[in-house]
Amino acid sequence: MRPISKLQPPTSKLQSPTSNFQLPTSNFQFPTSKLQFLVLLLPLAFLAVFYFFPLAAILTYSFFPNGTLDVSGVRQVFSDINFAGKRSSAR
Amino acid sequence: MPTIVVAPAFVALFGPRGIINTVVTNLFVPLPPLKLLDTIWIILLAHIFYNYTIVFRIVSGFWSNLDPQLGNAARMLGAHRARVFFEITLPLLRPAILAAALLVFIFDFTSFGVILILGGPRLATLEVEIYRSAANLFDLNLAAALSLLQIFFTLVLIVVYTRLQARLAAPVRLRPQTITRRTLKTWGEKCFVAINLAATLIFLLAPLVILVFESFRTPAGSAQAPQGIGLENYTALNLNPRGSATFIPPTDAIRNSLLFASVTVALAVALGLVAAYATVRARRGGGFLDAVFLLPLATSAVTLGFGYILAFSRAPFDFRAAVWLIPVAHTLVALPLVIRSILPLLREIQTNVREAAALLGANPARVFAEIDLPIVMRAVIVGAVFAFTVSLGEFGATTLIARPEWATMPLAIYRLLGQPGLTNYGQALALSTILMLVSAVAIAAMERARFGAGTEF
Repeated sequence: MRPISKLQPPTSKLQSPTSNFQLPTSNFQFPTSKLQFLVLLLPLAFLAVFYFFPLAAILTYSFFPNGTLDVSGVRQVFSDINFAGKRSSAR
Repeated sequence: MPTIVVAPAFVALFGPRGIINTVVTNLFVPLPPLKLLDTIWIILLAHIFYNYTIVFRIVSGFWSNLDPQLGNAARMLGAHRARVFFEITLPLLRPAILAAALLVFIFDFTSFGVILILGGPRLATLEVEIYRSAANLFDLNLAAALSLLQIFFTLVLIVVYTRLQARLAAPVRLRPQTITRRTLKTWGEKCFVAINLAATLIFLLAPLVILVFESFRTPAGSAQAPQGIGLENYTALNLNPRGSATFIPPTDAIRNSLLFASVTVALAVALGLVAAYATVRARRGGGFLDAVFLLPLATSAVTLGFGYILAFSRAPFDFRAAVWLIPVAHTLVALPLVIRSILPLLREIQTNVREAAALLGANPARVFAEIDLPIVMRAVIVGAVFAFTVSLGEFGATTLIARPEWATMPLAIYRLLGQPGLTNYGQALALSTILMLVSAVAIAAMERARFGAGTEF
């Protein structure tokens, strides 16, 4: 009687019936990461140029209107709690 | 309806020359016209008017698919109908109600046209102040600071909205309407629904009907030409008897609006389809992409227009005179709506359908063209019509970036409303009616296409 450790599972010499069979789906792939990246790039690039860039321009202009730090606009908004009312009535 | 149509409709109803004041002053007592415009109430009423359908669509879409078994079980255990509503239906509806409320809040927070026309200087909001600071006072520093504040608030709101949307997608047992639908049985139920429907129709249709009616009312020119009904306001649209420098030929405005809307549809559908496809197919970060593509929805068009002035005014990006910037701005406003229209159907497509096509030898492009695209086509049409109507009614960004020669219908209406005289007023109403009709045709087309396309709006 052979020791248990030398026992081989009965399927060890069996070959999968599909091992030499290739599915005809080999030419089909869902968009790979590269393709996904390229596809994604179009709307993301659109957002980057026409959404995030203008918002970044606003952010920059809020603090650096002339290239140097100037927070007078921001201060004006926050220092006057009745900003809208006072400005509007003054006009 | 575009906000620039809603505002003249409310002016025609509640304004000093509006139908209510005409009736009050002519039929009852000869008092000076009631001052109904420039009040907070008129602004609130106008916002309720054009946001009603948003809440209705979101909540009713969710409610009509709620599983009735829970309620039925509670009724069998002896719960009264009111108790079933407050303890079962309402808690289940809470995410939908909250999402709708937040969306309305976002839209109203970024509302511009209605407040500019109906509010007057006393009721100026953040949006109106950004516009005035940038366009009237040329105080770009202040406009930038106000825009920053606006962006901060809207970003917070969009984060909350996205989280609520995620909660809305939580496992609530939804059933098809063929199961949940029930007929009205008692007279009480029928009366309740009839009264509700009648009140809603009156509230929604009255301003629009009066807008159309008033657009045909001609001003009294002389004893020989008394006030009456006619096409004078329409025929006078192309006349500029005083040679006004700000005159915009309405035919040019209509042509520009249709041109920009067509380009917007092409851009928004192409980009929206790609963005929705990428969001669905992304192995990781699909939720993040969804949120990123939703961002422009929460940013006000005025802020966007002001951002364009700042960003595209220096070489090599000096596009201030570029006409294509207008449809690009419209596309950005419409893009989240197009994506939201396409996404649900794209998510519903089962993988095994695509795999079957692939097994039969179709390459990915053919699978997309012959499987994905036909299935989502209805949603694409809905998105396209959304883009078309958004572009037609877009006012906030266009008013800041459009040159006079490229003025659109909303700009022409606003300029006509801002000028004194009954002729200008009548022409503004006539042009608003034309814009309303074009939008109504587009919405009717969208409703036809929407049938069967489960969009998120």
